[in-house]
Amino acid sequence: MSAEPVDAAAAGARPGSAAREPGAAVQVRGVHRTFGRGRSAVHALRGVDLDVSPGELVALVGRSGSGKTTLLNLVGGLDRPDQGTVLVDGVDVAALGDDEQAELRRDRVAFVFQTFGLMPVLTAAENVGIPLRLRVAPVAERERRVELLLDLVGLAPHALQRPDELSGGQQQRVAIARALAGSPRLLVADEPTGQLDTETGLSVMALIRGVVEAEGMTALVATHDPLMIALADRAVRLVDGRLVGDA
Amino acid sequence: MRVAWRRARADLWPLLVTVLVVALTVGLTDAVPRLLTSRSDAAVRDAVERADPPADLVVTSTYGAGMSNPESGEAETRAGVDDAAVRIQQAMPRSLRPLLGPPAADATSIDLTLSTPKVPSGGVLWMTYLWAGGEPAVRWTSGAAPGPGADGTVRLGLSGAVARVLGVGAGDRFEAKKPDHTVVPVLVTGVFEPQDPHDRVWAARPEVLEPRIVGPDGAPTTVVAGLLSAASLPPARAALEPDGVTRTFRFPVDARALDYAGSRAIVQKLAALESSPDRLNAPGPEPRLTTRLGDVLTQARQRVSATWSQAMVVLAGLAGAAVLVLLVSADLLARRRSTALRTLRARGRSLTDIAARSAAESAVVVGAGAAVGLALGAAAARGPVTWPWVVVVVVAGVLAPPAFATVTAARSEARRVPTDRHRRRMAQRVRTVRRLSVEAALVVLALAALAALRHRGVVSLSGPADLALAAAPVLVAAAGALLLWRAVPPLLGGALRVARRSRRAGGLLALARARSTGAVLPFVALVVVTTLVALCGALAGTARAGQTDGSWDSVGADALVRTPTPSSTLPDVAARLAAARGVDAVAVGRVQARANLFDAPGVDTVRVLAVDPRAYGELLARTRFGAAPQLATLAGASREAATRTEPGPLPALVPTSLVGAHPSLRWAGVTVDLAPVGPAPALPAQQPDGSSAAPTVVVDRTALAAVARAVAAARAAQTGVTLVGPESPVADPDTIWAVGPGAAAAARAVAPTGADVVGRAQWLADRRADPLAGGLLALVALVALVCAGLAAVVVVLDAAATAPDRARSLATARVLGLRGRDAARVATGELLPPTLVAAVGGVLLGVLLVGAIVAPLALRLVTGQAGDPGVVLPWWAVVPVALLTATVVAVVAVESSARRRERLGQVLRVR
Repeated sequence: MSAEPVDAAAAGARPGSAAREPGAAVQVRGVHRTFGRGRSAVHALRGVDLDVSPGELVALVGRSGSGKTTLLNLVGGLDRPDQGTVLVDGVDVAALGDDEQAELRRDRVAFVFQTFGLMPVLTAAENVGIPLRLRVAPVAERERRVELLLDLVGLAPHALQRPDELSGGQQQRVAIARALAGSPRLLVADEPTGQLDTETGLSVMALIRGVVEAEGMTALVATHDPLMIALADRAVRLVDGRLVGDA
Repeated sequence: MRVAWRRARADLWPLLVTVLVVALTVGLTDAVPRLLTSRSDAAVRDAVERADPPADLVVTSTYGAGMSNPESGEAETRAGVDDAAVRIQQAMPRSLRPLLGPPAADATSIDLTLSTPKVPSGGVLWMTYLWAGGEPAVRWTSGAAPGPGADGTVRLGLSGAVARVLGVGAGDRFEAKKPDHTVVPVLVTGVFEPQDPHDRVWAARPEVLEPRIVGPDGAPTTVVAGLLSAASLPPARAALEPDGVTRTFRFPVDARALDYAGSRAIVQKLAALESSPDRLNAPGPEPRLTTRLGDVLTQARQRVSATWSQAMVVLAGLAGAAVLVLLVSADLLARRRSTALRTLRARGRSLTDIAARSAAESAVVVGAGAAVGLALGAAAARGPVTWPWVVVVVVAGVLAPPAFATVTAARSEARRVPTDRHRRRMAQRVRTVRRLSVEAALVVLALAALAALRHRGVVSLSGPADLALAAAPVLVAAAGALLLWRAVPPLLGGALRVARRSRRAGGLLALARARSTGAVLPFVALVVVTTLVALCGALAGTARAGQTDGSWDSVGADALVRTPTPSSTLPDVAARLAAARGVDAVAVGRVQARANLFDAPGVDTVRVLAVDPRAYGELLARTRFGAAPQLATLAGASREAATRTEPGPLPALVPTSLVGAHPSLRWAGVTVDLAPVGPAPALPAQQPDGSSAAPTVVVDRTALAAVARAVAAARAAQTGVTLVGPESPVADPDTIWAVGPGAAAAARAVAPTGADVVGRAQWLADRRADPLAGGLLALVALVALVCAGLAAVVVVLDAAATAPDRARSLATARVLGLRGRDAARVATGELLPPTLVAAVGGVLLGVLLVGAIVAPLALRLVTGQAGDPGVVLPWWAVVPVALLTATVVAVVAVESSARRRERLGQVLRVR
């Protein structure tokens, strides 16, 4: 990682915004993001400020189109804001080049998607091992970690099965195991239970809650699910691209 | 309608690819047969025009012994020659009449020896009456035309040239002798000059105007002819009893009236006439019809037939490849539209309706392509449409999209791999059995077609039923592709195992996707088109190299000078040739095409090359035959024999099978024992006329002369009969070979009168300018080009079909931290291995295929060689490997560019 941590205030913290939290895992300041131009422009985010403390699990709540996913993408380095700053562990994500953003995602941030985002051509174990391969981890270490994580999510017997041979809940567990593989500092989850039935969703939520606590990582989870909101340390609400306070 | 148009616009580029493929294939398969027809006609006419001796129809008849009356006068000549020619012409079958020009006739004596002041011996006289619509127009410079005479003297006129050679003039008499030594007195009534020496009337006996010298230098024979008139022919016939005059009626063939289609009937008609010449109303007891036209046409037809069949094989390959590309394109369309198709099905649309809508679209698209193709074909060559391959391509193009659309629509969106292991295995086994059955059927069909092709050869391909046989190579390519396809998973599996053990992600991602996403149809299509490129390349390379080899085999050097008879002056000519600029080496020798060999197991006739071994060895070393150290051995072994006066064995290089034998050679009337000193080296394998040379014996020319004389002398001592005198030209040379850039020009400059000069470069140029061979090679090159383009199209179509999944997979990997440039490498690693396997496999298949069919394809008829040429693969036949690699790189670059415009966060959202 070549990018140096920056001072959030100096990097454009908006006067009068929420108090800066020193040592925050995620600091979002005055972020705007607009898609399209002219009359068809969609203002996804309109001056969002957000701080997430290390080890905190924050639920991001809002209706469809409120900007949840856009905010997660910006935090995870999958997109760039039109205006404002996004700091992750003190690093200005938007200022990073493409390769540096890739390194950020590889080393510090992990994702869990509603659609699982697994590679259908790889086995569950191979999917989990991908982040470690991207870090060029030693083979033995990788295999040990994959085994541990699959065991953690209760899928050790399914290690050699491909995603299309697994149920939706099992696939999401594999995705969570993969997210944990690189020992990230930040977990970004976009409606991780959106495609799961209630019971399976509950177990997945419990798993996320558990690993966040066990691994000591920070988590930002977009969700509609009240149970997930209940499990979070804090819930913040987005309405029409604006953060309107804790839910 | 609007919906259909919107749907078509969304998939514009695959539809345009379909239009392009159909247009190109239809254009080629439609136009090429018409172009070949016109080239076939030209080839038949060319063969007849170039025939040497000419392919004229010749009717000969004698008068019959005792049928002459010296006083019958010119009326009998008119009736027996002039009118007979007209009667024969009228009796010719109606189908032959348009081919035949006006007849020329002659009535010519047997060979008579003559004795005149200037030619006391060694002269041959023909007395001839000529007619070509009339007697030849001449101007009598002295004396007058010969008239009747009943005194037993034959009256004739001589041309000025003949009179000067014989040393006689008007009013002079000389004697001619029949073979039985009976004397025929001859009176020269006049000396004339022809009014038109090029008049066709003289063509029958050019010796009337110009004496011809034949035979060796030491004992030349002067052949002349004297002109009889209608009035003087009857007394001449009487003087030459019994039956010493033969009538010849010659009908020239007008090649312009010939075409390939009608030539078969002509050959049959000629054969019938030759077996029953009575139908011609020819006079005389036993008229005969002889002509080379049948043979010339048969040979030309054979070449045309072979070229047609070779072209059909290439066109069948092109059509097959196009059909496969259309299938791949239809598959891509169905994949791109899979969501819409399944939605239609889910909303209750019947499969028939879905198929009909798709067929309507494909009919418009393929119809447009076919129209463009037919227009291109018509622009290239006018004539009726050539339907067979056009229909195949159009039908496949129209039917493939609805078939794929129907299958796609019928598939359930919820289709999954069964989680139950037993059911999964059962489903896998059913698929395996089904696939193996199809593959086995195709392999059996391909092998059967190939075996039939090898057994029958393409020369016998004749009708639409043989189109399947012509498709044998493409069937073999498809079967080979399927077998190769079976080899891909183990290959990728092996690589994948290595990738799994590595620390990095790229190899695993690329190979896992390559192994899982590969589809059999694009792979087979790619192998088939690549095979066709290699096949066309190997055909073209083999044909061109074969033509070059054929030029060496026929000419034997860069220039060849042959005299009609051996000449002791040739070494002087060779010396002048060797001194000429641009001549690197010269050899002189005697070539006897056929000589009898005794006590040689399995060989009774050989070609004899009597040469100066050292000079010939130096010459050979500068040709494609290469250095021949055996010739140095022969030179050393022949040193003693060259000065021999007693009979003894003659050192010789002999066919390999005769090394160790003790054969004897019949030469100049004596039998010479040969002492093999080694095998004959690689030598020109053909006679200059294109026929295959017999096994060859090489001897030292000086030694041959010495040994033959010694044997003859010993025999003369025993029998008192001298066959070969000390001055007899037993081994005078008749051939000069020369190599070097200026050899051909120098040979033409120094060649003696009457000698035949053949330049290898000219031979090669003539062969390559041949309308059939040139046309075939052009077709092969064009089809190779089109197939190379089709191969690139298949790669693009296949990549497009898997692009959405690949994009999603790479987006996932990039979200996990894969860098952009590494993503491009992963995409290359996914697409390139199967493409390379297909390309390399296709090239190898193409080369193997050419090896298997080079004989049945009768390429020797294109190369002009006596035997089948060896397979040669030109460098550009492997271009598909580079082209396809470049195409993959380009596809990946385009996809990477598209990925850069894509917001990564959107890729993994719910679709």
